[in-house]
Amino acid sequence: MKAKYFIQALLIVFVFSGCKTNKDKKEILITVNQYVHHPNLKKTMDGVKEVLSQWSKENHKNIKYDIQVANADVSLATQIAKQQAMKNPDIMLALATPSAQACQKATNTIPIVFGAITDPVKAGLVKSLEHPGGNITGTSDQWPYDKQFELIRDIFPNAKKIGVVLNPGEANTEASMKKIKEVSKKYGFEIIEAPVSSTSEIFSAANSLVGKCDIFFAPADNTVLSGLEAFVKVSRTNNIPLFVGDEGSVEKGGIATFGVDYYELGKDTGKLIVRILNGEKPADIPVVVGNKGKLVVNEDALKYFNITIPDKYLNKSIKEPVLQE
Amino acid sequence: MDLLIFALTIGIVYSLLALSIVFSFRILGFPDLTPDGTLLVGASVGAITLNHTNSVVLALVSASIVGAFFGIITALLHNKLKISKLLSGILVMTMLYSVSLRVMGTSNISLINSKSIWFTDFSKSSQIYNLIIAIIIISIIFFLLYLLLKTNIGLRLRALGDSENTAKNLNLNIEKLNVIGLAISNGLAGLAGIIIALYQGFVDISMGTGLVIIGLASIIIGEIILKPNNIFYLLLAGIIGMIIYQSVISIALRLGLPSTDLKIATVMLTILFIFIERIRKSKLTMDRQIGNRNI
Repeated sequence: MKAKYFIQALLIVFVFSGCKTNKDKKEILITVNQYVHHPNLKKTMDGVKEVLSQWSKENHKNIKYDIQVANADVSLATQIAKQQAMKNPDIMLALATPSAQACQKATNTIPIVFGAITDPVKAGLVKSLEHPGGNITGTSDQWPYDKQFELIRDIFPNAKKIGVVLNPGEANTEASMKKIKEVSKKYGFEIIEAPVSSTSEIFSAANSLVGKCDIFFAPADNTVLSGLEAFVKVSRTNNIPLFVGDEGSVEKGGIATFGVDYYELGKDTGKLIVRILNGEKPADIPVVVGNKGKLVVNEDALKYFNITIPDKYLNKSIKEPVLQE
Repeated sequence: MDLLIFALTIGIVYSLLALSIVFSFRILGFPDLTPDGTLLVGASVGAITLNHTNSVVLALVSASIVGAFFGIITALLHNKLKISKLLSGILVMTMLYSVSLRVMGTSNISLINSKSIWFTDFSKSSQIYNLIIAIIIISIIFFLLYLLLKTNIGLRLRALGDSENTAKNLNLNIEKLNVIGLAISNGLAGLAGIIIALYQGFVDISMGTGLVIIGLASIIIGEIILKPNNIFYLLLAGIIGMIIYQSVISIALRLGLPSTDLKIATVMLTILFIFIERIRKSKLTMDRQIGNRNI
């Protein structure tokens, strides 16, 4: 009997929860499907909000966000995407690859904008970067590895081997490593890999690289970035300089980088959303690759390793280096 | 209505896994954690097969075979090396992460443009067709399992699950039964893997993680609701439990619960079910003055 009541109760909730739609035309609903809590994704989101709040003021619209984080759970990302599609929002914003794929599977009519995805073509999201096709477009966060490795070469003209700790289980990492190997060849580095599958393995993986390389590098890998402190520790104790690829990691103890500015990337993403809200079709909006890097250095680390940044970087008009405490 | 259809569909899709777990945990009495890995490896092998041969049938078959194969390995680790049941499962499950990465050659494969067993257009009717497909699949698997458990070998498996000592006394070949049982349950997990992957449109290396626990929670919920006293209801409990579990997630999200709090909500739900069951049982025993039966 109890079972029967329970199922009835479930049904009632279903029916009622399906009923609340009535939407004010002035109100714009944007759903956000974020795969995991991550500082870079948060910065992206901040950038999006900045652009959109300005747009909404100018156009006297009211923007409502429905932000859900999938806690790195694929089945949850699917559920969230479906739920959000049912609310019939104006735009679905998806941050990180599995979330974008889940959104893609949830609707073919509602415009989807993805943010911070390293390789949208390989993830099956778009047909090509220039002509995405379908109902989807967005921004890619391919890191400017070229500039990053040029920087390392300029600081260490004699370095030969770069040790990289990475988690081969991440979609982004694979795309990055391909690019890293390509770029490192250009600057005459040899890459030595140490794989991990969780943050707890980073310490030993980094230690296994000691003696085999002159320089450490942390790629665009969420596992490694989450446990970067262990990498920093190994780097300091063995006096091997650690270069990183994003701003947040410089704050955590990496030496310097040309990083993707995720806030800027978020603004680019926001601009795409505005274009769609203004009536453009996602299929015709090219994917924006946000690799306008800016130089960020960690002064502490520079002192520790006794490194000076070559003059050409300080004089260049890209952007003044932000000196971190 | 949409929500109901979707929640039912995803619940049924995932209940394939619940059946696999009912089979190993409840029927065979083998607390097998391998499905976390076999589900993933099934999905990856299935996806690769699908992309190479363009045949859905081959994908489903290969996923099941690979799952069964690794189930057998877990059983052999336990049988031959006398590694405990839990640990054998954990070892194989952990290993399968690397195996799946190797198989896929990458950590994420998109299946959005591949053939599928599901209707992939987005019309309302195809949502309903998908629900029907899910019901057909689960019914077939359900009755196959049910019939299997009625056969001679099925009875032996159940005897082993009831008591290993009795099974020994009956002179059953326990090692062989473990191999058969885990092959079936993990074959099912592999099949579940590719079916889930086709449903969500991609395979990701993180897709198996934690699913055994979710499966267990749903079985507990299902058992409390159905109070199974035979094999039919025991299998059904897995399916019902998973549907309820997924529905609750759907409703919670729909009602605006932040997904950050979802895990605690589902755990609370499970505890709540167990709690209600406890109270009910203790009342019963008090009423009947049977004394404190330990359940």
